[in-house]
Amino acid sequence: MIQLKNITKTFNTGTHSEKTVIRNLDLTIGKDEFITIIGSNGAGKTTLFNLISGNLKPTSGTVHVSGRDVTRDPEYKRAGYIGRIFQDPLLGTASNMTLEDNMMITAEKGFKWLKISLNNQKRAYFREELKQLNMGLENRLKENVSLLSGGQRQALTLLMTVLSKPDIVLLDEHTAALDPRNAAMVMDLTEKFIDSHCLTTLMITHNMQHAIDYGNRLLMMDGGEIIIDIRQEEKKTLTVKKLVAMFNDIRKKEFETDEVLLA
Amino acid sequence: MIEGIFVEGLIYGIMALGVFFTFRILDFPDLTVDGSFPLGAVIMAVALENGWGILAGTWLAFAGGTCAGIVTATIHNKLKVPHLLAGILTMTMLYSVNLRILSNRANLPLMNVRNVMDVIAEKTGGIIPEAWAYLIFFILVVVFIKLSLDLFFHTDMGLVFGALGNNTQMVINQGISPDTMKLIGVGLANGLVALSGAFAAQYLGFADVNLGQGIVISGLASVMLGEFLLKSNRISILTLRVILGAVLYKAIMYFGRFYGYYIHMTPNDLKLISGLLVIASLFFANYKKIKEKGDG
Amino acid sequence: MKKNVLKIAMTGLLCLAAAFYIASPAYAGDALIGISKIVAHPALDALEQGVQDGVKKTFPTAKFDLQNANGEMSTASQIARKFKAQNVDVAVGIATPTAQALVNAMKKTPVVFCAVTDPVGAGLVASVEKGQPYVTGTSDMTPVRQQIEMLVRLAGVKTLGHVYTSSEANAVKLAGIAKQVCKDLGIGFVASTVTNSSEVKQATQAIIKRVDGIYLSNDNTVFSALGSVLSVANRNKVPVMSADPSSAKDNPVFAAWGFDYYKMGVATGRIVARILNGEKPVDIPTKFMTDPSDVTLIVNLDVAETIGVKIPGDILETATVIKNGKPVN
Repeated sequence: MIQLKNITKTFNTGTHSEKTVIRNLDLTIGKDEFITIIGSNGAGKTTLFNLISGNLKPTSGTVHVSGRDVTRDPEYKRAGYIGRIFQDPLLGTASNMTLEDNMMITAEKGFKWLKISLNNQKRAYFREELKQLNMGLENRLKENVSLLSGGQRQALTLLMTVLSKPDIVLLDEHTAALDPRNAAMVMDLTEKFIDSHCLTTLMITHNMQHAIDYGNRLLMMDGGEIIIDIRQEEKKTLTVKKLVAMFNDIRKKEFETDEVLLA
Repeated sequence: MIEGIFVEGLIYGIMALGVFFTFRILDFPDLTVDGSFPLGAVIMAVALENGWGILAGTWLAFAGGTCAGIVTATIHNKLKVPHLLAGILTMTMLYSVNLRILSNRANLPLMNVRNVMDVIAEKTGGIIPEAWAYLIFFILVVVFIKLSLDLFFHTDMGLVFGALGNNTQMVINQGISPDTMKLIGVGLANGLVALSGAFAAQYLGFADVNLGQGIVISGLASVMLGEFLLKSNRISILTLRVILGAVLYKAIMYFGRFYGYYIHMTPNDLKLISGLLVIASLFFANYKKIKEKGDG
Repeated sequence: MKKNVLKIAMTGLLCLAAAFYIASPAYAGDALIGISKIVAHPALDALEQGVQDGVKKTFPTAKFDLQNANGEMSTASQIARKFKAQNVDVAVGIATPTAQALVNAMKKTPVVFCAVTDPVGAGLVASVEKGQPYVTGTSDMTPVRQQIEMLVRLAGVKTLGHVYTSSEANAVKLAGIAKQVCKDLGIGFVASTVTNSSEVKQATQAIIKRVDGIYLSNDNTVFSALGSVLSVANRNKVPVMSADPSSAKDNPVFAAWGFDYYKMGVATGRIVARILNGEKPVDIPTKFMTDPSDVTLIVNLDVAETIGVKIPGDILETATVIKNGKPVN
């Protein structure tokens, strides 16, 4: 479904601060795959997401979606079929507007015209969907989103993203900024939604255990390359210890981040 | 006094709505306004002079302003020029354009052409005093514009505008080009400003290429005063308070002139007062936020 | 490579164009007079025409370069440099800012200022008794006292309102004189200042209830907003005395007393002709329009009727009377 071929991304080419963040990367993402991505800081995970979403264009290489070459497509065009959730829970909603207005904006992807789509029918639909979050948000449709907590906003963002029916969902450490209780709640919802809507998903996480427990494919990145790619069956028998050992074998050095190991 | 405060306040209120749109909703500080306001005025003047009619002049003025806004947005979008600079560029170019429209004159008196003020005076001649007739007319016009704007912000497109200034990423995530939205937004806003200029020319009795000098400040002051007057997040209140702010601003200017000499203030000081007003409104509007930050 | 060649070609073309512009020779034989005015405005336009006619009386084949600074100081400076580059024989500056720009730019070309209220205050000449080596001209110092006295005589004013631009030097000076005149005459004086033509209406409204007469001096900004003043004044039945007769012909001004600007233009043109004939500017003192034949009084009977003022018979005989929108005599 998504094919990245021979992608290289270099910043500040030609200057003394030149840095190659992604190196000759090949990746094919199939439909219905739920891929967890793990790696130390600076491994290139977020850059990978940016290359898929169109926020960054590759220095060389191509990006194909469903067979179409979208390498030169701007971010907003690709957003028509990509849903992305960021670490910052405030980035997914407009804080100056009400819940229902926010949900109305994201109800459908694409350019909006001069019609008024928000009506009681839509509101009833929103309420139904909001019930799944179990936060009582279905009674707060007319309230401003700024009154919600970070956890609530991220959950809402998740719901809104799912409802906009994207072909691919990019989750960029979307629970990392939440407290443990909310993080767990959002992860549960995430799994539930991906399951029920059969969404093709990529999830970056710093939590190795999460990476193993969730999804049906695991990628580990280091230094701008994918060094480990484990699928279905093999993944089921993975443990954190095994993963770290694999890393040591390949890279011949200690896996850096404490938080990953202690997760 | 009714005219000086309320009628002028309402006319300039239309311009303030345009400034509100760019400055607050789009988060796009737009100085095109200093050029699109007189643009509306001169287009209206030329239309009246050539006998094309008041309605035609009004539509043309609105269209002209919209074009000016589109130019600014295009410069910003395509050449990646910062908001302020894009606006200044268009405003500067508009000065020459305005002179050209007036056939290289800087000023065109409208005393001897039939304009909307004369029509109002004729239709209500004798029944109600002129000043009240003007007031009622402009209240109707501004209410119509305000309600149209409110309706606009309730449409799907309007909702996206609401999000655009607050969270551009969210708009992008929907598959909508923020550049296209800015084109429409800045265009419409300047259309409103030019419309205001068209009315102002008829009210003041002349069109002058220098009419727009410093007008963005009076627009901003009106918006700020409005925010100080009413607090809300609902769009219908937001547009209302802009108009109230514009009327209040004109009132302050008027009383400054009228009673200023009691405190040895001359009308020359009015510009200083405008600046201080904006600062004061900003302070009080932010006071609550600052206080909360301090306690929390 | 191609890009560089293109750049060089463009630069070359630009240089060539500039060279042509700078090197344009003065018309051999016929005198070239550069006339620069600060804005397009009936009074200044009349002056411009008068200057040309005044010069043509002696030099019928003279050529004129007419320029309009559109209210911008920077444009006035550019016009001055243009005249200098063209080697005009004489440059005429209509109104203070343009005259100043010309004098600043041209040190060896005679500059004749036209309709500058206070040439000494403007730094154009050291005294009005004689000119400078390259500067002389005419002053439109308006007879403020006579104007106000005439208004009092016609309409019995007890408190005089005066709207003027605080950023125009000549307007400020005249306002000071008006204040003094009112003091001498024992009538009240209420001033209202503006910085921009769009403020004129509000400025007039702010004082209209406190005054029973309004005086407008030679203030370009207020004159561009004349309509604003008149609509407020006439509606409130307050008579307006203006220092500019030319705009009183087409606009409902109660009374106007001043020079005919066209005649002043002609007088200026005659000074230009004297210089072209060899007279030195330093020998020509600043000319004021003090001749009775230079001054015009206009009264508008329609406005008088609206306001409810009766104009004395002897005035009706000597003045230009406007009735039903047209001059009667």
